[in-house]
Amino acid sequence: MNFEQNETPNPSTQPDPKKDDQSKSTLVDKIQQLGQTNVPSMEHSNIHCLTIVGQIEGHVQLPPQNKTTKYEHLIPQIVAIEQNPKIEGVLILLNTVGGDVEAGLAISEMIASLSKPCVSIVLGGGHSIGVPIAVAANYSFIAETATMTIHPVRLTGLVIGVPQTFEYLDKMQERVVSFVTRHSNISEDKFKELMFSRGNLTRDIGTNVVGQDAVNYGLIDEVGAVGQAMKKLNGLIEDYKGTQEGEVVQ
Amino acid sequence: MILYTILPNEAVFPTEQSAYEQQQVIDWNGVQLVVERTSHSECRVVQVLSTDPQDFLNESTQPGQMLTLTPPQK
Repeated sequence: MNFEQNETPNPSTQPDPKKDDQSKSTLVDKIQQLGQTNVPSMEHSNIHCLTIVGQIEGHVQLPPQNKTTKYEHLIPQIVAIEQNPKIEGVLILLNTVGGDVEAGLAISEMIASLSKPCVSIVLGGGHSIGVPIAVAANYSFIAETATMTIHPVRLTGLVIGVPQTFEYLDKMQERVVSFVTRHSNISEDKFKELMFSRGNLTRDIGTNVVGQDAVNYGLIDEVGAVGQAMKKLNGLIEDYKGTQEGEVVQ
Repeated sequence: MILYTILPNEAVFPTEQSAYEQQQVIDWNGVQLVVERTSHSECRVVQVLSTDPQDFLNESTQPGQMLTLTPPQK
């Protein structure tokens, strides 16, 4: 079976509710096994980009109308980037409202442990758990108008019933704080001060830092977007190649 | 009934299972795509799951494009 592109996309086509499950699954199996078409051969890029948009989805699957980034999609991609010798650098594009703390930390740790040069850009917003992901890269950029909301860990709408739950949340928050302070130039005291400050967000504690402020606090390395980021990434790739050649000579 | 709550919508009204089943991840020439089935033999591209920027320039997998299943040619 082949996939072919329709000449006229027909968005009004409705799903067929009568279709039985068995025929559906065999059809999908065939798509996955035999799907092939002719694609014009293009030169593969030596820089790959990870786009982290919408909500960071963790243990709970959100309905399809939500725009999410799934960590089970991102993590194998990061492994593939690490393994593929043709890929020399990674650009991380962030525009996220945050989401699952553990999924976000998992992505951050994967990015931080990547041996290849990696540069992140916060475009629009890198809120909440987007902060550790942004600082996990070797060098981070923030667009002039982009913002980052720093706030304490919480579970929306769920009442903290027992002290153990509270302590668990406190530990979870400590993991976020220590990750951010280890991977950026912000001090723990300053980060916590931003996290617990009052009067900045309506009916909430925390701080919303915009572009240059994030750089002034030491959270992000530089204000800039794709142009500056690519220049920096190419520079880091050159340095990385240099160190690798040095090792070979030894 | 008016429900005043700070709970997210999906926590109060769980989405039907069929909504999740509509979207699938398929492999198309080594590129992973999120597709939405529109009929028995067609699906619409929702998202390209790739890290290679070149994959996003492929016109046939632009989000919104329809992919059709054709019978095998022997």
